[in-house]
Amino acid sequence: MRKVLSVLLSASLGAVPLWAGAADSDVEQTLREYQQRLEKLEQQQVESSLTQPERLRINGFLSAGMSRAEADTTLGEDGSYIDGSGDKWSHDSLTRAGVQFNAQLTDKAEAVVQLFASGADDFNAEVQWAYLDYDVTESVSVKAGRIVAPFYLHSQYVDVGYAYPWVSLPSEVYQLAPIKTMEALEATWGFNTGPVSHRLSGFWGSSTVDGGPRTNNAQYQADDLAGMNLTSRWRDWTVRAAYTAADVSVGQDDLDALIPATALGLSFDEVYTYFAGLGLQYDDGSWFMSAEVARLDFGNWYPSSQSGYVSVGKYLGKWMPLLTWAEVDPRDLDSSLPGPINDGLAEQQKSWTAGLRYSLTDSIALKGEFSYYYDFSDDEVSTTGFFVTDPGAEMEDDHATIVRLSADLVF
Amino acid sequence: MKKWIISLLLTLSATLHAEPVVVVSASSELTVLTQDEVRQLFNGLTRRASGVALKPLDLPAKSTERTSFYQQVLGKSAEQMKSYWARMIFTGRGMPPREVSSNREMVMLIGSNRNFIGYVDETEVTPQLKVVYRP
Repeated sequence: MRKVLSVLLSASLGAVPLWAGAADSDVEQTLREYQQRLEKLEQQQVESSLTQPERLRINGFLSAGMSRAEADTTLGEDGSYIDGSGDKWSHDSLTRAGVQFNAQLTDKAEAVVQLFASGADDFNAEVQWAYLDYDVTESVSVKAGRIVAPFYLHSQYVDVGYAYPWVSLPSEVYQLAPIKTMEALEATWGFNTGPVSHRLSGFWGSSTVDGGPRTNNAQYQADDLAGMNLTSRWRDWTVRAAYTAADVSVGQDDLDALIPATALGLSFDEVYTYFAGLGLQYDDGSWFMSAEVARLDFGNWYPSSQSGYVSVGKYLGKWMPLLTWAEVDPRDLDSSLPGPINDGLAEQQKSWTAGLRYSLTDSIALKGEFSYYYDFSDDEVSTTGFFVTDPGAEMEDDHATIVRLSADLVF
Repeated sequence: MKKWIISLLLTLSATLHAEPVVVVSASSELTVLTQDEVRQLFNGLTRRASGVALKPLDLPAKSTERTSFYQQVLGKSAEQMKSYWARMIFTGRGMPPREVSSNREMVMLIGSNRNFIGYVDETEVTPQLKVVYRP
């Protein structure tokens, strides 16, 4: 239709000189009118393309990383870290990629699918998220399906390295409850109080959590997983508080593979477990600060933990140096258990991490960081923190280091 | 050589004088916005101001007005905004403002639709536009 119009317009414009001799002012008047009509057409075209939502949007991210741990132990093999970093350079542990499809179904409903593959999982692509998002009102939306488990300040983009300044998020906090997704129903209410923007979410669902290499990949089944979280933002500040509770069960076989549970008369069945987290972030484009504390509390003999970190970074043009201190401590150890059980299950460590981020382009970042881990043991408990070692081994000289490098991009 | 210096000075002064102002349609009921409201709109944290539904528009990524707008009003560089929107996109919380192709298109669109909000250089404000915020 537009084409036809413009052809007609140009044809009539081309015809102008034929009758131009008559009156110049008439011609100018006509030309002005045509010009206005053309502008209007152009405007309608741009406007309709902007007011109509795009039906399908595709966004992706990729992180290619490598890491190496220096973790001598008192006996047997060197230790490796929970993220897969070992005594040889490893590319798998930090390498991952994802593609997200957002399909607008109606003006209120959207379907979101995220495919994800990681080196830690032999690059088997899996559906990390698949949910339907429905806007009940302009400020209330409901999600149903396989969604992110919103435990932490940076939970929702843990795999998108480009979105944060660390090579890997502080493990003392982010590996405490290593749950990434859940099958759930979530309602979110976004509202503003003056200059402060809030998002209040509540969810209910379930999830199976892989305990990772430190637990021989024991499966923690979390049922009636329910939680609330509030994120508030004011200018350069973000505050987040989250509380989640669940009934957690671990199969007796998995438990026996971890500790002599049956022999000790221990089981792990529908144990009331809660997770509480508090996060604070400041980012004024010149300084960056992020701090979080988290507590994971099992209502039985299993060791509970408390952890936290503080990171401070400075934007210097394309560079950003970043310093992080983090800690995880066991809490409420059951003293009636044999010492080695607590030593094996509990996680205690502190760490200093110095990192540097460089923006290669506005969608590629190069990052490197050096972490020094220490203080795995004290009078009460003798752990290997988040390091995986041979049974009974301790960290040599109570410290270990890891170097991590990565290239992160979004598209 | 002289030419060089002159053109360099001209470019420099053009860059230094890029003073973007936030505009809506002259027919909009809005009169003035606070810096917080402008930040919330361009951060995708709200879709309204004083009860008026608003859709933010961005100039092309390379434009100097865009760079200085984000630097002056939100205090963020292009890379920082990219990283911010990566967080928003992958949390399903929103998409960045739609990008127009030129200053001319920005002026034209905002002038004709009272639900758009954008920024243009102070010198490009036409009678169809209304300035609601000056950094």
